[in-house]
Amino acid sequence: MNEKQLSQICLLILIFGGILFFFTYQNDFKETSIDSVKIDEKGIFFGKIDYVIKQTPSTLFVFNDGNTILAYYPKATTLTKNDFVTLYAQKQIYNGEEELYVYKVIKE
Amino acid sequence: MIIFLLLGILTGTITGLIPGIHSNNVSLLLLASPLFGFEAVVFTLSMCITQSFVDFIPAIFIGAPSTDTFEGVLPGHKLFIQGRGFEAICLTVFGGIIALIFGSIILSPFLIFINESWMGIRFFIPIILLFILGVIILNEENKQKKIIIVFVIFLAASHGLMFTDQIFPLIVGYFGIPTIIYSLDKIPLLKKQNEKTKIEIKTFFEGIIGIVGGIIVSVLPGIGSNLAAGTIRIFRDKIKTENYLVLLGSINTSAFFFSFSVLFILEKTRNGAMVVLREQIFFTPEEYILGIATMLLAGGFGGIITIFLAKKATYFFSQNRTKLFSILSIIVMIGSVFLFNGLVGLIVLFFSSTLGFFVILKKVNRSSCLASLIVPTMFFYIFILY
Repeated sequence: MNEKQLSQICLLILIFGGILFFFTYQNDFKETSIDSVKIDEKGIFFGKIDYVIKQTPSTLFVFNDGNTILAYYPKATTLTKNDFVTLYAQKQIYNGEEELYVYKVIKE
Repeated sequence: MIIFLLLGILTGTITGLIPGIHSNNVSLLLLASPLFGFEAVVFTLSMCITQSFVDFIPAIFIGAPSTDTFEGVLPGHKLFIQGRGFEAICLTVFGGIIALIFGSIILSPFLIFINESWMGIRFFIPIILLFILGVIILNEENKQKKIIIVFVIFLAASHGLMFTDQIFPLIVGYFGIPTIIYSLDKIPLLKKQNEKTKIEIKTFFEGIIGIVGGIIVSVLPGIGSNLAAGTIRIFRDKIKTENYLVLLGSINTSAFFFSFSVLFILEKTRNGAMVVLREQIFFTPEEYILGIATMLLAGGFGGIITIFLAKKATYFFSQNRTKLFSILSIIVMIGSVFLFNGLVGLIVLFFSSTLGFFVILKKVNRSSCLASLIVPTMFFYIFILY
């Protein structure tokens, strides 16, 4: 195999990776709000914490961005009432109720 | 998203070309950035994978090692002196490409294996490392050399234990500066660099072995690419220089490739860039698939960029500038050590270079200097496991 053939193999991998990349990157988190996001959709939410139900070993709190919803984050935090936060989360149904499954929470 | 991909590839190329700068250092900037999720995955992985290819250019052409490539300096630089620097680079690219292709194929069994058995594997590590040191000693041909190598292992181990945060000056001293100075008078004045290469397909077998090395590196803390390569070389005594470069290229790329999967399954990692990434991602399945796609894409790019840059470098070094650049690379290495490790780094560099020279002059196995990594790793495992 010479350097040209090696470059061609690299190009093939690049194209294969590119196709996979193109089909995956579209489902990213986008800025949204509680009432506009559909079930199973992901989004970035900005708002205030109305009430913290528990902080450890996972965190459960009521989130408010104009509308309120229960939010579940699978890790312990030090979040408190009235904290402003950005949530990277997915809306889901749990026990028949709508809630946010939080992937990441950033305190503002 | 494409911007982050291109930015990662560009950063990986720059960090790969400059000895002393590692993608791990650049990744730290991520912590202070607003990059999360897909953006962080794309930037970090494209940078790391590109660097794993480009890394070999300074290692082979000017003999300047990085923490990931120092095992390649001696064999790669040897080919360079013979006018086969471009071929040496292409061999490492071939190894990296094998790692990406076969790494993708074995990804699923790897995920199952790691999920079920990683806790058990690490108990054997100190025993294996001790065994490696024994093999290094026993491989020497006569009693006098065996005594010398025990002395070298003792010194290198004490360096490793004393200067735990000075790995860069240690490897530059053991594998970089002595190699260049020793080869200065051996560089032919008008040695033309060959711009053509021919890679034997059967060397792909070394690429497969390299994947095993890369998996070990990605799973076990304290085991770096070079330690894995050095260990494999000890067990495969008569490995050809060409094959060894394929092996190194494969280990370097697959270490990053599998580290990302380990991060996703165990949420644990030993790789600096992945530690940073852990804080910036959400561990969604989409992120994982995008990460694999990014690594393939950036790997293809990285391979093409490396071949292109190596060709340019080949033309450049054919102009009889090798000696000048060898001297320049020594200055760059000393400068990089001072920049990143300060005055203490220079002192460490003096000690490690002296030992590196001693090993070359006494013609004993240079893998003995790996004791500076092996012994601290052994202690690490002994303290946390037993």
